[in-house]
Amino acid sequence: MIPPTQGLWAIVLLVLTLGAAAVFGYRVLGLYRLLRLGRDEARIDHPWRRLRDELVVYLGQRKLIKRPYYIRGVGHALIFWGFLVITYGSADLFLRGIVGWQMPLTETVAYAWILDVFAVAVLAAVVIAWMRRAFVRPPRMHIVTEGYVILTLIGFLMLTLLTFEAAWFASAERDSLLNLGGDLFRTKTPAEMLASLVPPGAERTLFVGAWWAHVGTILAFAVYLPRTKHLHIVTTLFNVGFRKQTPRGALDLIDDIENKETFGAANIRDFSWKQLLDGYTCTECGRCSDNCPALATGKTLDPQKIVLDIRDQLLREGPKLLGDAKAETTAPAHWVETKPDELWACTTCAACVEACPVTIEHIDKIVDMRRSLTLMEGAAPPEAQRAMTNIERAGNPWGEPRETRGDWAQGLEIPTFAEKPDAEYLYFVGCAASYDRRNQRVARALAAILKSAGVSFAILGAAETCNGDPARRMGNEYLFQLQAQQNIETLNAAAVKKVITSCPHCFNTIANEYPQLGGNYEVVHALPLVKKLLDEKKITMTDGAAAEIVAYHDPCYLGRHNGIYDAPRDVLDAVPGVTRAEIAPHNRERGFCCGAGGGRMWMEEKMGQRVNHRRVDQLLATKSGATKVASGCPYCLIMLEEGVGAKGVQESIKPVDVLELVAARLETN
Amino acid sequence: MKILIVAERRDGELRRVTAEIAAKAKAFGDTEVVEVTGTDRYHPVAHANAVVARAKSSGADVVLTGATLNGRDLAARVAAKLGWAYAADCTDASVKDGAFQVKRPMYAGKVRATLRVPTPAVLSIRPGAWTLPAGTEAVKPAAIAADASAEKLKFARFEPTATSGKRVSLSEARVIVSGGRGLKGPENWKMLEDLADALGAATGASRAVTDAGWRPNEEQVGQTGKTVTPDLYIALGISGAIQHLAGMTSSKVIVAVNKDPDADIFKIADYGVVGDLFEFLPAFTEAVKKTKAGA
Amino acid sequence: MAASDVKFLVCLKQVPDSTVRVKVAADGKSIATDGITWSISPYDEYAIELALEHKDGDPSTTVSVVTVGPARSRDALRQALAMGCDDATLVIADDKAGGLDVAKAIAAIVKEAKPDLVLCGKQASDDDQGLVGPALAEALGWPHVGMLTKIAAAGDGVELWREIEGGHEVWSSTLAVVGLVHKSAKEPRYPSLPGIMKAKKKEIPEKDLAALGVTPGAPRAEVIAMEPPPQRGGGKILKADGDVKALAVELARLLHEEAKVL
Repeated sequence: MIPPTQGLWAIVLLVLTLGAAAVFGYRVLGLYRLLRLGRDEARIDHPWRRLRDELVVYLGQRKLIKRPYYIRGVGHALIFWGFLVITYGSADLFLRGIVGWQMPLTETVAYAWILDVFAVAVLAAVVIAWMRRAFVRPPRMHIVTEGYVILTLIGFLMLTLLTFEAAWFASAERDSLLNLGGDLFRTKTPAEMLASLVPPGAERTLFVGAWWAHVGTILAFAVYLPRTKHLHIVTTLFNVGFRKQTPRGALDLIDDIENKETFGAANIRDFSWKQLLDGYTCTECGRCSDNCPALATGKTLDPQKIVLDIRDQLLREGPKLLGDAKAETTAPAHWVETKPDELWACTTCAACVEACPVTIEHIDKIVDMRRSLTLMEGAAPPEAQRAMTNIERAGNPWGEPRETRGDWAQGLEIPTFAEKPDAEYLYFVGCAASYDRRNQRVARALAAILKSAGVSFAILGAAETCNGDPARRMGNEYLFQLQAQQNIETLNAAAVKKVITSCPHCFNTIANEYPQLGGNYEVVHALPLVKKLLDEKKITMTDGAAAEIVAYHDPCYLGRHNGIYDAPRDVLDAVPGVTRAEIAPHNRERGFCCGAGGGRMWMEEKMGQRVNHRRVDQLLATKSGATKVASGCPYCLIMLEEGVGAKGVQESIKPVDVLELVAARLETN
Repeated sequence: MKILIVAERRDGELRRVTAEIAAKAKAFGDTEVVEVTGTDRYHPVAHANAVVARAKSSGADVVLTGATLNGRDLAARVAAKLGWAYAADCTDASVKDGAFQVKRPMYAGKVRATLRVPTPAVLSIRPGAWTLPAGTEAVKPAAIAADASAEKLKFARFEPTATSGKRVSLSEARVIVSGGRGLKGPENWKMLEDLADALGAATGASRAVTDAGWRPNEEQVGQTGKTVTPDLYIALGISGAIQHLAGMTSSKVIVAVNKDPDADIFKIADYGVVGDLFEFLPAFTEAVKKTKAGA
Repeated sequence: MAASDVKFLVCLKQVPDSTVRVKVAADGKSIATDGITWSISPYDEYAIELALEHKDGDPSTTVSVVTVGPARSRDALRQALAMGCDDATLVIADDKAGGLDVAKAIAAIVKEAKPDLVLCGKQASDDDQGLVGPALAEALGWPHVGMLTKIAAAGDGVELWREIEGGHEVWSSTLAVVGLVHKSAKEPRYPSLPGIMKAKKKEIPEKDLAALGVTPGAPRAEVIAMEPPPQRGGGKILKADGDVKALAVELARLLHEEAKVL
């Protein structure tokens, strides 16, 4: 295919291309300089995982194609893959047009085929996307003119591409193309089919006109792109590449906290460059908001708004800050306008993080802003402050006496580590199972299971103290570190190697966060451990109890934060007489929070419906006939107990922990 | 021993505690009951001055007041002015080897202590600590005049609390009657209030109840509400989630009424009633009224 | 009250934290203090908060804190500094100093520091006496107001809100005056981290009773025995077997005769 750029026209194209490249480069550089206003953060660990993510998440579009977005996801993937193929073709067009070089394999029937198929597919996807915006208007999607402009540009690109291809086919022989792939591409390509529509004699004019229109549109696109959310085509590449490779459940450590002067994020400069890049990358698709339990129940929190507020603030204030390093900065918009209510409504359930197709990290920003409120201003809600004071003084957020922490185990012959220093496992009981009478039953159930399986374990008793999860998630990094250091000291002094928890929050914190402070243990949540014990036939359960249907509720800190979806289900399935029900579609990675995470357990919930009540609504809506709802988390248990009570269904559906179901059927010798 | 008892009035009537002290203190020696007059209200300085003057002029060895809001305030200042030993909120007192031996709660009620209080001494006595024998003659206190006119501290006005009405506030109450979801709806609160009135108690609620809007949020007892430590806490239809228990486990005596025998509240209750709330409550209110009338 | 530069002095006491399960020590007349958490007495925390709320509104306000107690009380002063108080003084004293001695020591500090308002919690949650505040006022010849929940400037003086049944008595007073705090408008504030760090570095001058001209020995009540707190749980469970009335009467009887709370 000979480009219409003989002689002077090649220079015209060169000048246009350089011009567009200069504008594109200038604008991107501007964005990059704004990004550098953010604080430093190293994101180059685990290079192989980053490469894998680029392949799977960026190229493979893995996070787009998932429940409940399969069709939309595939639509986007088609546009994206088409875009890649067409970009390859565009590179070919420009190289040939300017210097006469060609990209490999472009002179083949196979390439013409692939290019054309994608052009048609992209065109179709663009039309659907356009119509969806215009007529369906998904509620959480940010619909702006920009979106239409971009879709129209892409559509126009495809039309011009197909047109000049058709014009070329009308005047040339396909035999001039290398027939790579043989019979596979025997039939006519879409453009080839259109060739018959080209009026005889107009082939050349049409080819030249459509070619220049196509090339011109590409250049216009390049100039326009950095000003739009469609820059995500580029930024996603980086956002995925620089995503957090530490466990999702681990919040970042504030290192050397005693010698720092400011903590958390109170203005644009306090966010890291990666957090600001998240803003550039947001496509305003609204999936995070779609899945947010706080927003769903009428709170002011909207995870997409948090990300966009930070971006808008950066674009608004950034240029001034670049000019004057000492310029005053203001708090992000959602602080000032709606006050911190938004921030305190977050349960850190990670539904947003899970849903985001471009790996934006919402929780970290929210916690960073909470850190500023709590640590700098002492402005946490009063109930949160009370919980923190209780952790500080009594080692548990409820303010129960430190001295009675181990009392639940009285009379059960459960040794403390002091009494049994050679125990294989430490059972880290956690505050809820130590003090809440409902959850004490779960602790006793686990103890019975471990004994029955012959597992060697001990507890810390009164020497255990809150792991620090609520404090950290309320933004009190300092208190978290004090708690963590205290536990690490205790565990190390007892030479603990392996830790069992029955609480996913204890599990997450000890497994994923204690290593930040030098506490490295082999940590296992009770349910995967019980699954292992079942597989090894160390536990046997008796049949005989009445058959029952049990719905499984995914705790966020088991599921989304730590990927433990199957072990609890396997254990449930192994319980004689139990038929498992799912709370579909809000199950597994789409599980709906109980409302207690992120320190919310100890805060008032006055806005909208209570999250746990919505969860019970979802449970009842499945009409599964379940008479029990099982989870593997003490917070969930407390919230579900409250929820079924509030809904008046406590007689017909009882919240339990999976461990209790197992313990009730243990074969006793 | 010469004992000076300071009487206290409420709504024009002598408070019962004055009579209780007057009756019991006869066992310690000669008693004189006085009442400070001359001011509209209790004045911390003027009243202390008047009592101290009388104590000095009458040669008293002991000053006794009721451990009420004003009585405790007065007793402390009188003790300081006289430079005498002092014990507040005594639940019992006896004379031993020329000194008083008193019992009183310490550490926010977590400990019952016995103290030796050398005479001369000032003691405030908890209302109800000493039962009033039936047929005791009415007390007729002698008036002692206080003069607050020259004081720098002046009473300006009274600001009634808008919401609390006639009931005592939660944080100050000696007795609290709290309701949970077991009461089934705000329309049933009348029953709870009847009991509270019979007991002279404050009313509280669980979070479920305030969340549901059955009761105002100020009544919430628990983790996200108020922490209370009354002498008697009556939990009606409250299951005993830790969120609630965190706010009331330090109460001295806990009574729970719930129809679910497995309710966790029973594990911390001193007295538990398993049964139907709506049948039990009116009967209990009647029984309380009778007991109080007979007491 | 002057328009600016108001000086508060808050007297506080370090006591076993309210979450501590109190146990009687081997001597039978004190509590076991091994390994327990110590905090500022809750009403004293309210007093600090009340003063700091005034400082929030008028930054020219200074809030000083003082305590009379053993060396460990320094931690309580640090906590107060972390909350936002400006300076702290520790007067070292042991158990021999009773309430009247402590009041005298603080009076000596007051005479030096010349605060406009002195606030104390209405009682410390260890001995629960509520003696030091009125005794301090007496030692200084100042008036005092108990059950304080609010302070408002009024002309040259202040209005002091005293909570009683059904409302507040509002008292007006010239300065200086002692307030015995029952409650602050907001819960005592949680210190900011920069506040905690600053407090760690702050000098806390130490004085002893002798330097303040106080010789302990004023008459006082002395603990001679302590009973362990009654054990929770294992309570009496009553079940209605048809006769609800009898059950109600029985419960009323138990509360009256056994528990003695009716």
